[in-house]
Amino acid sequence: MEELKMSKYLPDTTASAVILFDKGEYNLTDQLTVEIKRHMRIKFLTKAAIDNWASRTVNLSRNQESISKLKASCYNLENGSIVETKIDEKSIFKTKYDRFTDQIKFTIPNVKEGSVVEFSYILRSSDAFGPNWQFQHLIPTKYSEYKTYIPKTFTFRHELKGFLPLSEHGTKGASETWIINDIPAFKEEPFTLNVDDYISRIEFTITELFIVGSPIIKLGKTWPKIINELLEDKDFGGQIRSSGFLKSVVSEVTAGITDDEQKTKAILEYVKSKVEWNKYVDFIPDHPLKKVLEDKKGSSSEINLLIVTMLQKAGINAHPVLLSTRKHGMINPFWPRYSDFNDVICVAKFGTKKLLLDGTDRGLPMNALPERCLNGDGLVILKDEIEWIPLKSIRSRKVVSADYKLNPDGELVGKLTISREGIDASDMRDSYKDLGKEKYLKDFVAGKSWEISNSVFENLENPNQSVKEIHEVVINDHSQVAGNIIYLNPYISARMEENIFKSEKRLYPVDYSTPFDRIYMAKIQIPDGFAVEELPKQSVIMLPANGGKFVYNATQMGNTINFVSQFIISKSMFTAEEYPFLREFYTQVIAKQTEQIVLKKNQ
Amino acid sequence: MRIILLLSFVVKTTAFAIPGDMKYPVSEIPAELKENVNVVIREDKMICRILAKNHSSYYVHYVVTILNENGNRYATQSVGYDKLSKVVDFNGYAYDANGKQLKKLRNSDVYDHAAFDGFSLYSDNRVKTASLEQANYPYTVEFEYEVEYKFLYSIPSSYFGAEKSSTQYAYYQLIFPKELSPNYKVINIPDNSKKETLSDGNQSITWIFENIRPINFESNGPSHEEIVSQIMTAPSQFEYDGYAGDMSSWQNYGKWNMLLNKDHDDLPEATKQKVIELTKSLPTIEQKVKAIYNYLQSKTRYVSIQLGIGGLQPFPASVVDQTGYGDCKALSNYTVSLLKAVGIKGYYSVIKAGVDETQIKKDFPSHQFNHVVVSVPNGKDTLWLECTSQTNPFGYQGSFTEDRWALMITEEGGKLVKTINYLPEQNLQSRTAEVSLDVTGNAKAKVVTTYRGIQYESGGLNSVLHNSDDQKKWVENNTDIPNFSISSISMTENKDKIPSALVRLDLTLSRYATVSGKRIFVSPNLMNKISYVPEKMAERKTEVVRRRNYIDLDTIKFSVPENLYPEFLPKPVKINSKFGEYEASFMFDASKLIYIRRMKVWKGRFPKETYNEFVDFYKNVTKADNIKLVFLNKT
Repeated sequence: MEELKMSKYLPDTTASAVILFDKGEYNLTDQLTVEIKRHMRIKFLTKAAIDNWASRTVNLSRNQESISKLKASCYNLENGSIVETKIDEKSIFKTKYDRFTDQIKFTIPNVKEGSVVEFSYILRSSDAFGPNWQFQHLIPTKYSEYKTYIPKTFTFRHELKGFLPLSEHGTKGASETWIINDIPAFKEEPFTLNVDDYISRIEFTITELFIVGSPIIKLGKTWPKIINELLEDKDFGGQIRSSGFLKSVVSEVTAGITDDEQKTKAILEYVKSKVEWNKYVDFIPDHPLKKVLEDKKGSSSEINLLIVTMLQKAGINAHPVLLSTRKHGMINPFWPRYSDFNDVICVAKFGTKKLLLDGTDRGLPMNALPERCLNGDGLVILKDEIEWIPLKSIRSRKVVSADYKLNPDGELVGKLTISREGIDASDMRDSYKDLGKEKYLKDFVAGKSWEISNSVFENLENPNQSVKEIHEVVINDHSQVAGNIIYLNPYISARMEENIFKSEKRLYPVDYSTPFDRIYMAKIQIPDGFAVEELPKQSVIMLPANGGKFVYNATQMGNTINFVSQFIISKSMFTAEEYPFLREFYTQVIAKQTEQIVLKKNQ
Repeated sequence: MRIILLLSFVVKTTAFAIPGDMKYPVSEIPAELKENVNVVIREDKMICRILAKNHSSYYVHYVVTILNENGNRYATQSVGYDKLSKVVDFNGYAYDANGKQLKKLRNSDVYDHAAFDGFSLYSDNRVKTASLEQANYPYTVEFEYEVEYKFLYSIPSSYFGAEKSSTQYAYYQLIFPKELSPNYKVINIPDNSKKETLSDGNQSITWIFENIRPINFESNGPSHEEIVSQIMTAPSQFEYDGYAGDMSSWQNYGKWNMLLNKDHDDLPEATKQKVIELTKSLPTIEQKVKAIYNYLQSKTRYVSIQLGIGGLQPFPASVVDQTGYGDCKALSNYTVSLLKAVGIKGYYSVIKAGVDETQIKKDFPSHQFNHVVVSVPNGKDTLWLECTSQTNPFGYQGSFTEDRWALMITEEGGKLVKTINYLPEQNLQSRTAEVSLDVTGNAKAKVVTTYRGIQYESGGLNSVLHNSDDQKKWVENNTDIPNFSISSISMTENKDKIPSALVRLDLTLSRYATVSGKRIFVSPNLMNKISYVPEKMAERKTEVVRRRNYIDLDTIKFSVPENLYPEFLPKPVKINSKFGEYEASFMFDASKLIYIRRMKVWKGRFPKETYNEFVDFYKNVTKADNIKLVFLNKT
């Protein structure tokens, strides 16, 4: 009754709904079947949450999982008394989603602003899977309770993720309970690596199995065990060791080359040119390497293990490196398990020098990794060694240089050169390839009143050089002429227009994936008969702890103004504590970038 | 709803020859068809058969050469079906550039899954999908399939030509018994039809087109639907799951809709009494309708469930009354039933909804709709009710269903009625702001903006009015100021037929003005700059289409520190064109700078010759919006 009368959730008055309680009970039997009881009550405060929370979808593995005792009701207050509407069979839909999955969907009747909804069901599964539980959702939760009953025959290891502490935790015989009270709504922020790393939840993995009369079976992994298993696996290590057919290919590709690094380059380029990435990311190949080379198409593991294999056949000290992509989340180095990984690249070692290689992105040079791989450390798969290698790539860099003449009527005529390296270069190559020259140029000037008379592109197909575009351009609306004064912003391009960090506060780190440079240079010829009345002052703005800097410098030499601006972010990750500095840094840079050069006609 | 595919029992063509044969070699494509395209459609053959009033089929033979990876999506084919239709046959082959067979589609390569439209809770539509994507370009894929329908309702149209694709050979054939002769309309391509009587006595109409070049779309121009060549087809007599109808006129098509809804207005007596009670003291029809609309909004919510009869028949009113939810059909039918209970005539009205959606082909009665609303004639006006929203203001159509033809389903049959066209004065955004600048360039701003008419939906404003958490996000994303922090937000809504939202903001602007030596630069246009100029074109081929009427009015008052004076005061700007009107003025007096901007934009269609004028209009507006004021320090 009280819940029905509630009109605001005091801890979060902006909430459109609140989960009053969310209870789960996980029961594992000795026969390895699982029963999960779920019971949830939700209060709807505004209409906004009804679309997302009054209906539910449960995915079931066909012939393995089923749902029973589904009960759902909606409670409303009508004329001071509680009216219950129960769900009827007609509102429960079972769909054969595809070959493997069934879907149960149900929607609760009569839900409106103010309603309280309650539902419960039992899910049974013949497949013993990890009893994971999510405490935090996009709406706040008042009380979340999770209970597990796991017979002594099993040992599970669990990991609590997110930033919220447990309110209660207890063990009683075979049962264990976790409770968190007053959980705030999870809020997404821009430039976040992976929300799954921050949502409060608990994850389990089975580590030991005890069957009466036999010794304990250790299912838990250690890093050496994972490495050995992979090396023994016929699709992984097996293929690297065998694949004899590659020997002749390797000797052909490296014919006449003596230097190991050059050999490596030749092999990498060979694989990149022969095999196109099919956009699948995985760490165990689905197809034999022979077929991959024949089909000329492969996943990330197929391409990169092909590289490892060919390098080893060429006598180079090369190994696979397992990693977790940015979308896949962080690896817990204290908990060895396969599920933390989803991608593999290659490391080649030349004495103390290590080179990380990936063959999936044709737009990147040898020493660069695609953005998806830039996530913490990767595990080198090498027998009897545990080596974590930081997944770093070359800096992303964009250099814009403008060389232009200003006419007395304010018109600018000149040349604009944009040069890119690293991920910036790869992105540019991708978009040029997707769009074609015509559309690329159209997009380049979209919304601007620039007139481009000629455009040249360089190194589009050569990822080892920076990719360049050079445009001859006339710009009419950039400077402002007022009587005998001309105001001119030295940036004709590459100026930041607004602060990307709108929020004043931040909960999670900002992740840029890679450090980057944005350089803008201009050489401006001022019109005859005009003199520089005012030049913006030189300025250097620094982020604390060498996180980044901005340099701004304009100088006059005769009738030419030389202008240089450097915007440098030196770290890929900024903590929530560093966020206010980062935001202020952008604010100051943006303000500085609006400054104008003032020119005055000689009297 | 969806496009319903048709037809079959086609005699196997000789297209599938003996293995070992080279098929569709790339060398057979005329050079000019390969220019500036990603794919060349080698053959696009479609045969639609009307077998009986309630039985139809549809055969497709589709061969496409993919020249580069941007054309890969053409290597995937999806065929939809449901309980009343089945995919009889689904074959596919891939060939290399020389025409050597690389792959033959097996049953296990076909992925059969529930059609997921992204918003339905349940739908009995299903899809078979197969991909023949290859790694080496160019390659050719060939698909052949037929779908059989245990009904006749719509006949697939054929479209010829697309962006970045050319067509070598297109074939479209209609086969039908004489008495079930379908209607058709040939659009943007000469009607070269060949009519004949087949040996089995059936009638046949065939169109063949060769060497069709790609279409180029121009921005700010007509939509895809208007430009593309097309043969539109619809049955005359038809029957769908036992419901027989006739599409020879809108009137008759409406009668069929009426038939589907028959007896679905079975409201429980208690609900009838409730709404009678609710409305009996209200004097006007409009007030009564409004009370019923409010009742609907408080009681029901939108849940999409598409079941049977192509998702065309609404759930009965009694079901909605019991469960409190339904889709557009069920909720509209429920509303019509509620209105009927109090003696008001409301009409179930089918419509093609969507922002900037094109008009239906008015002269071609057929199933061209995807949504249902309710219309209530009220004297010389019509009240329009969007029944799927719990928050939509009464009588407001919004960008989703404004200014287009809807088919009102009446006892006499279907009637086309135009929905509301909002005038510039009704789509008004009016803003006043007071900005106090300090000598360092920082500022405090109080901004009051009213968003009216369609502008009430600006950036999704209407959907955040009731959720204070989203309001902050909305302000962050819709405030065009380089650096700002929000001190306070207040939003109030005026739920009129022309609704409006009043947004009050207190902002702190960090370094709004640029201090550079003795000068201070200020952008007088606080937060409504247009920075878009349409692309220049050597030769514009299509007319200029502008889709929205509106007026923006900004009055920005800056108070500047006393010792500052303007180095120059820009002259007022006045721009007049067919496309709109723009005025901006700058006044300075006693440390106050007053900037007033008014921009009015007309919707409409303008001849292609006016394109340069259109570009100039935006060029001039952009330039005027970017004018900076320069202050000098007296001291």
